Amino acid sequence: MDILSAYPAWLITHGAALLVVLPLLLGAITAILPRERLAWIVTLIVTLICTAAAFGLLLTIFGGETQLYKMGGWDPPHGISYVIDGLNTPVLLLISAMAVLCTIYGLPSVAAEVEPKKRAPFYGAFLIGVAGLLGMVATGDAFNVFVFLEVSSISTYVLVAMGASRDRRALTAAYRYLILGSIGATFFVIGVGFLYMETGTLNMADMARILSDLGGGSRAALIGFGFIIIGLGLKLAMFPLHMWLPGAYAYAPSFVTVFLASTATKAALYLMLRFTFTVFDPSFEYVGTVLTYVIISMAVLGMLLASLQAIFQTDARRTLAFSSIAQVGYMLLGVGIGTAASLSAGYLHLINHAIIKGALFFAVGAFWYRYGITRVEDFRGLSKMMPWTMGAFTIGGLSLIGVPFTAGFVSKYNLASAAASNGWWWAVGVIMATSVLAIIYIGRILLIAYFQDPPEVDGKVVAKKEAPLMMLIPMWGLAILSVVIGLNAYWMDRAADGAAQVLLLGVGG
Amino acid sequence: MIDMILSNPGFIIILAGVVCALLPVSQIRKAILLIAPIFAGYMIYTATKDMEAARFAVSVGGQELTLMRMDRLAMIWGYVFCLAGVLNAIYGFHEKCKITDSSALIYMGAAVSGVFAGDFLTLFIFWEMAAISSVMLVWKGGEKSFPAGIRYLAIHVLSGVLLLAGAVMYGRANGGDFTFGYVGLENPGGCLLLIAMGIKCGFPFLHNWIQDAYPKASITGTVILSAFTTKLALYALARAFPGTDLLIYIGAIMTCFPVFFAVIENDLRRVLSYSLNNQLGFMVCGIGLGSELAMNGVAAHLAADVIFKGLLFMSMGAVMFRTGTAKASELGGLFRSMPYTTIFCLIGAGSIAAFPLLSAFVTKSMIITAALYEHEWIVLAMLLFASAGVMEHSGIKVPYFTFFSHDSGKRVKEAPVNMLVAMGLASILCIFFAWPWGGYQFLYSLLPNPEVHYSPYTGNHVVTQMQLLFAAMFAFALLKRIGVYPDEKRAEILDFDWTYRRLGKNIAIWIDAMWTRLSANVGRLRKRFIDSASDKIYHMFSPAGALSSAAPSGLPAVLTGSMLVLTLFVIYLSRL
Amino acid sequence: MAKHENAPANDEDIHPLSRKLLFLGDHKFIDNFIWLPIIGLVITVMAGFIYPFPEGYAAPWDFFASWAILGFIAYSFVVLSAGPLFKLLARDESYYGEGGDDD
Repeated sequence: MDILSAYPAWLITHGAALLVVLPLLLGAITAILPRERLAWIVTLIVTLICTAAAFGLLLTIFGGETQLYKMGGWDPPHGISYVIDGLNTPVLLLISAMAVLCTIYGLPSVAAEVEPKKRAPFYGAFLIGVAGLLGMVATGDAFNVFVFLEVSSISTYVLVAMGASRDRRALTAAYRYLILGSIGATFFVIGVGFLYMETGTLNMADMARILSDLGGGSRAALIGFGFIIIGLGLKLAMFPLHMWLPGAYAYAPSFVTVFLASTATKAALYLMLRFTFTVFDPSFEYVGTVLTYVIISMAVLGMLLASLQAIFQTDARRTLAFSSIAQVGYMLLGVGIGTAASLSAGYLHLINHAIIKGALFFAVGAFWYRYGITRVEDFRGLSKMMPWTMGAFTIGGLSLIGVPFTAGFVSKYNLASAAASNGWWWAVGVIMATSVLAIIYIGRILLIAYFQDPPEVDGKVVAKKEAPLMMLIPMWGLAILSVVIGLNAYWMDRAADGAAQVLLLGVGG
Repeated sequence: MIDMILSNPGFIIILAGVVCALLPVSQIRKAILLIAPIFAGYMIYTATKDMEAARFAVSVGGQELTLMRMDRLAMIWGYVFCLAGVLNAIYGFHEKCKITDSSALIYMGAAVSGVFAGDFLTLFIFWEMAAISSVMLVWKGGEKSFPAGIRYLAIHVLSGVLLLAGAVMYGRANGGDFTFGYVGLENPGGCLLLIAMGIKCGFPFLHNWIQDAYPKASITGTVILSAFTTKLALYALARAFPGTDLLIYIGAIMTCFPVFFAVIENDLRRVLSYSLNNQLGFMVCGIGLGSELAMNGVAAHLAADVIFKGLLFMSMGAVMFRTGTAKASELGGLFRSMPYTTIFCLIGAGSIAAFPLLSAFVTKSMIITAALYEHEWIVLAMLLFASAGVMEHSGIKVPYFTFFSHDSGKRVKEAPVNMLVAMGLASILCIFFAWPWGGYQFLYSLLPNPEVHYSPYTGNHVVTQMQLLFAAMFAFALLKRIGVYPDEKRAEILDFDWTYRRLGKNIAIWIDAMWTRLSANVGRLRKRFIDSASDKIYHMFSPAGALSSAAPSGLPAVLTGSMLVLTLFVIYLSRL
Repeated sequence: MAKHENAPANDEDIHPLSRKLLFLGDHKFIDNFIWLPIIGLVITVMAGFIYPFPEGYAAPWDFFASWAILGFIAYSFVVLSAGPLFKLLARDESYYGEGGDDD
């Protein structure tokens, strides 16, 4: 690993803590900075450092090391420990890299969508949200998870509500998100409470050890498991607990929508994986039952119903939001099947979907930025008015459908073959069917954009106005990445297989 | 890279299509359109000299893709496609359209590449490429062809997706071997593959895209479309499912049912689309029979069919080019102004009806004879019934209503020279393929099983075939004389596509309306409930809907609670 | 067929080749066309005695002039079924709302 040798040693040894503490501290400072441009630069630098640290950590993971970072030098189970292993490091990199891209995109986008006074606090809240997400992914302590879950959630409510200067409905959406998010967090902490009652510890590794000694634990562990699944299910928008999501995605500022879509639900999904497979164990009877009957049935229902709902939406952002719920179904299906191949496929889809949806929401945000449109029927002739943005949208859309040589194809194919090798042909059928539905809801947008003529205002065709460069860079970065993954998924497969190994063998857990 | 492009004749044609897309000069494009298939044909010829050496494979992501595989079955398909490409190029010479030229080449190239593909993954790529490039030809038919094009694309993409799914399942069951060879129906992947090919091949109930899209395409577009898509599917069937009994019956039904639609249809290009479907039925049936003679018959009939069906579409295209319509009710008496087209159309009609000395006589009979050898009496009867039907819709109806019948009074110019040349060449081929002194022998020497002996010009064959045809002509003249032969009327004829174009659409509209009404009602009920329960509070706090924005949070909260209860219940059950 | 005899007024611009074929539109030709298949049928049915199917290669329902009878019945059945089928399946050309008019 040559790149690793170029890293300063402290960035690796203290990387785990740095990832969380740096954005948290600087978030507070950013919020009170006087100038928005300054706040933007600080945000960019912080997220870049986090990305560098996460990338370094990922390289050490590929080198075969895992880290147990003890906060303040206190040993677990009494102190708080951070775990860096094959399961969470790719997610850490995903979150921090998406934060960088969002920040770049935010320079024109935030200026257009957030009131001038609120821009510095906006970046502050964003950084705190990033810290919360990174924290809940990195930590090895169950109560710490709850704390960071709340940190990220509260800052997200604020961020969603900031969309109010663009669309007043953002306020109700944020309010609804707040109520449901709090219910979810409460359920989660209740679940953790039950677990504490059962095991007497909050450290996840300890919990896992004690639970497996008890052979799954008593009724308290059972109830705790139920609460945790539902609490996290709400956070990750498992069908039918997704109701907060469409509104929040549709009315939040574009920047926030992208960030939420590609990281927040993914972090929650990571937690579900972490709890189900490493704290609990699918070999416990009740965990297996819940995986097979609750998770899979909800996954399949969500894939079908949310895809159908996506077809009927008139607003492009709501279409994509419902599509996200359907895609969560794919990931949950991978989790529910529970074999190494399916977990790896689900995990891969988690990352791929973040990339794809990021590109799509970036593009939709750019459409709003230039022409103030979000309704599908207003997309007439966009291929001529904003060819580059529409190009990125098209690549993202094709990838979402799962056209060969795109990222979406790789993970859907892996998932289908994992289901098939388990003998679950009906699941392959569901994957095919929802892909067809995806063709419909994406195809509908593409047809309007490519085959209808641009609208005319006062007898003149609306002028071509491409999105600013700062928007095109992150958008095309993700679009190209999705094609690159489609062509050669070696590194992605390796990361996903590593994660699946952690889940099934508990390596480094 | 160069040797990869040179490995498969189809790649050259695709490349030529891409070049054409960038060329602004129409004359050069036309030259490429003509030269590319000739060159590809020459490449096939050189590849047949050493079939093993022509094989070419690349490895992509650990998966071996066989881009080129040559054998006698693929060879005749390749030759026929190249021949059709040359005729189409001449036929479309007058048209200055960059999109038609380039998509025609890419489409044809994809079909040729598909024929020489050695594994299912490669086949899938060209399967989809053929679908996507050909939809441009449909869309060139004008504004009203747009929805038909969308349906065409949707159905073909679906077929491709099924093909891929079937291939993956089949490959998995086979231990990762994706070789495009005999599959059979033993594993579920085989069934999916059969459906995928069946869609493209126009199996009963899956056939509507043919009659939906072909008549709506542009004049040259229809001629080009008729040559490749269904024939590629036929090739895939011949490769993967020879001797599958199910196909005998599917094929026999396929020969019969289009006859009834063709007889009432007014749009003559649509009649020819049904006729295309019916001819495919003969070949599908032959594939189902699967004997060496039957497979020879399939390949020979394919060669004849591409030429005579192309010729018929060309003649209808020429009529449409001059008169602006292909509706039987608007045409008639055109032999007075388009005599050459009339003669060529009659040769095409005679060929499809299998008159001796015209091509189908030496090809279709092989399939019928194979059915006879296999003692499939019911199938034989159906095939003969369909042969009489072919005589009606393609042999008599098409030329009769266009060129004879009641004089429409239309006086137009004869078709353009390039069209006449293309039709003339096709007519010569129709005769050559059945020429008793060296003609059919040449065709037979290209068939997959050259060692099988079959001689078409036996006394009993000529006599029985002429009995059938004379009887049909007699019936026509008789029915005409006693005045029961139906006149053509303008109408939209319903077929199975009604289920999705009308029924499905209406159901969707109905569900949408019901859903709107239901959600409005539920919303009203909920609102009334909230209104009555919290009337005072509502008026106290909210001038306009502040509360109603909070109210929707109730439902998700209840759902969350129920999900928890459900989960706990499942956990509880697991402990019992 | 009597209604077909009204000779169109614009017979001048007929293709030169067609001038030799004009008999095809003649009343007399149309009325006597039926003799062509009748004579053909008589000849081929006769010839059927000279060229029977070889033993074992005929369908079980094969008998004297069976192909001619089958052809006649099949053709008549197809044409006569057109009436009822048309009543059953024909709709107005604008049925699908996509406009069937191309002229």
